[in-house]
Amino acid sequence: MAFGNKVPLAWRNLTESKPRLFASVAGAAFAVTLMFMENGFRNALLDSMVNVIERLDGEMVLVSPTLYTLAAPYSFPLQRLVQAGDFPEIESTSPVYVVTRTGFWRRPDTGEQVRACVIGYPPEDDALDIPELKENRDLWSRPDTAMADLESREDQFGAFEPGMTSEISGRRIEIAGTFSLGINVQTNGNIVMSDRNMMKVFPELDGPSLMDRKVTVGVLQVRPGADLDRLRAGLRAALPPDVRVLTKDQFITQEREFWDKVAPVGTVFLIGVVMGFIVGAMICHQVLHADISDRLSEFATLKAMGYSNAKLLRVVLMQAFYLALLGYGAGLLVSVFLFDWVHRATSLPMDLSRNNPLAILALTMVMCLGSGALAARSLVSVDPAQLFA
Amino acid sequence: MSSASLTSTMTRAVNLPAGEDVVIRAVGVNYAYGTGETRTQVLYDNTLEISRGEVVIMTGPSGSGKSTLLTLIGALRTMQEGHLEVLDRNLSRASEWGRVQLRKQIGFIFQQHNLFSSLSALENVRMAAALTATSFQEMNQRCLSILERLGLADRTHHLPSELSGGQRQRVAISRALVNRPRMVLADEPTASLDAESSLAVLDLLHELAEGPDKTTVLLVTHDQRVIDRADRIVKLVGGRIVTNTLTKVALRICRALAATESLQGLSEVTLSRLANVMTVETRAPGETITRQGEQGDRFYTVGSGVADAYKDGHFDEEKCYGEGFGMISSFFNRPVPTTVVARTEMELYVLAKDDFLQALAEDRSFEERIRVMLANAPSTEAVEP
Repeated sequence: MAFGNKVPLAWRNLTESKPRLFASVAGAAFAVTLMFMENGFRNALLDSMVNVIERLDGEMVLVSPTLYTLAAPYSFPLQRLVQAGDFPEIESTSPVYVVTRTGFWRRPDTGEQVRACVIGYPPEDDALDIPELKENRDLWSRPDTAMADLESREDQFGAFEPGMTSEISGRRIEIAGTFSLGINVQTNGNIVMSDRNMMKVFPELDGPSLMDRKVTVGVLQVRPGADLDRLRAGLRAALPPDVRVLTKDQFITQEREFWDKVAPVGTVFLIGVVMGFIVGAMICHQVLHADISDRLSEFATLKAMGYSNAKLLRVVLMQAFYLALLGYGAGLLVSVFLFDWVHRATSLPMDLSRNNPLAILALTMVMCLGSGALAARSLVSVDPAQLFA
Repeated sequence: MSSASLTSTMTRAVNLPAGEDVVIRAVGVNYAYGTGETRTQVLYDNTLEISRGEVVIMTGPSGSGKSTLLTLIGALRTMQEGHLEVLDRNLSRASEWGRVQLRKQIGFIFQQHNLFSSLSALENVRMAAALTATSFQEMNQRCLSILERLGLADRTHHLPSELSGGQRQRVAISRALVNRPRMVLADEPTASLDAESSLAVLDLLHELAEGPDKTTVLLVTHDQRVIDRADRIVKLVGGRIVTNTLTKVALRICRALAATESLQGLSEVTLSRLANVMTVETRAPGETITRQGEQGDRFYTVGSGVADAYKDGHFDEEKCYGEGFGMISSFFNRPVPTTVVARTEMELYVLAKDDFLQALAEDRSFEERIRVMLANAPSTEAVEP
């Protein structure tokens, strides 16, 4: 914190007045927190939208060519999955049925109907890599049973408890157990049931024959060592155009990009980050400009003594650098608490470590140093001759 | 422009630099603020030479241009017209970088202390020392030493807000002097100081000027305590240097004039006015200074040495310290009354015709004294001041 290895002028100027320091750091921290939160919301949103896909226990998937997001599920015939299973590289296949628009849970305590995301698949396939579902496979294989997501919004769905009975889309269902998956902006609660029960509750998924069942996602488990690109090309060549072959990563990317750019909820939050940056830059500029204005005569004296504009600019930039560090530290601390609070309040996957803290630090530095450079313009134009006026 | 040609523009004794080592040389300096219709000229054709080690006071009414001239000398402004050389650097052609480098050799003291309120007294002084220091220890030692010299040894770690007005100004002065600058430019440096602190500051400035560094000190001040101890007083009025007096020379001339019989009783103001327009000349033994019967245009006053005056070829009298001779024939309508020959090495104070006429026009008591001399003198007798 030394100036020219001699005097810590920038640090002293920043910390001279404790109330002003507090206000300055609070301003910078506010901007940092805003950027963290907006970026956090964006990431949480995108993460939550691929929550189900990430847990699919397979390396490749089959989906309808018209499916652009799992929130608006389109289907393809089960026969395609059977055809894919004929490939020697495929170890196993599993049909996953998803209903997002027509699945309603009736709250046992209020009788109120709440829209839920209902997912169905053969329990023995373990298509979702969720421990509670695997462990309690026998329980929810029974007729008219389902598993409920404990992270569903309790204020809308009530508290799920094993053994409780109610209705899903008008059909009586017993909650066999619970699991943890998480909600997203489209879904406030999740229900998982067997494919057989799924067909009973949502007969529209069934077809004239078993092979005509309307599958939303076909999960393909590939044998170890198989070349995914080659297999994908082979599947695309072999299967009719009413089905699309994607790797799991491609499926995740497609889903994220939809919500990020097409929806464009992600862009909205990105604009929030930019707004946080702009607000922070304005606050930092105001703080540094006010400080420079208060000390203009002193800086002019330094200029008269022989300090160059570059050296004076360095003082202001150092001050901006310290402000960035302090503001970032305070903002990070506040964000840790806010992320936890938002996660507990909304069940959104708010994860600070996935929020690229270094990128926010870089943004904070650019924000403060840029503001400092702008504020320092008055230093360049200050005329030391006026001190003799 | 050579030193000789510049010096020839200033022949009056009190205008000349005190020594040969000239550090400020200004010739025909003009300066104006604004352009076009808003252009206001504040300096007009100013010429000035100051040598190393002089303590110079710049006085003048508000708006006379003294601050502008000081800021030009301090390389705080860009030159517009004329020639200005400061510390061997030609400021008429200096770049911004060149002016910054020059300013590192100058100590600035402002009316306001302009100390960083966030830094202690020692750190404020370090800000200046850091420009030239070779090591932290050496820098610290210099800073502590100058603060101690100005009576702030027990205030080094105090913030400006914890110091009195006088103490703050002394810190600012320490900051200006810590690098042992070749030149000090000060604007009312003792304005906020008590008598004791002022004395300490003045002692320090004189010590710098008289010491081995022979620092040149330029001060804008109205403080009589400072003016009394100046080597040179430069007075500006309306953007022009109206008085440029090397006080030691002026004092010497004034004393010699006061000893002159015909000028006795004239006020100090009148004598110093005369002194300001006189030149100093030296003569070797045997050298003829005036010749009887010639048309003269100068009056002489003996500053030192002895001369012999002859009338009609015969020794008439001895001319010693304070005695005058010579004639301005066109005014008194008389030729030079005596021939004067230097007997020893002599210093003479010379009043030329134009300056004599100017003094007559400007000073009523001098004009009356000359009129009385003319009235009392017989028509055939020589009139010598």
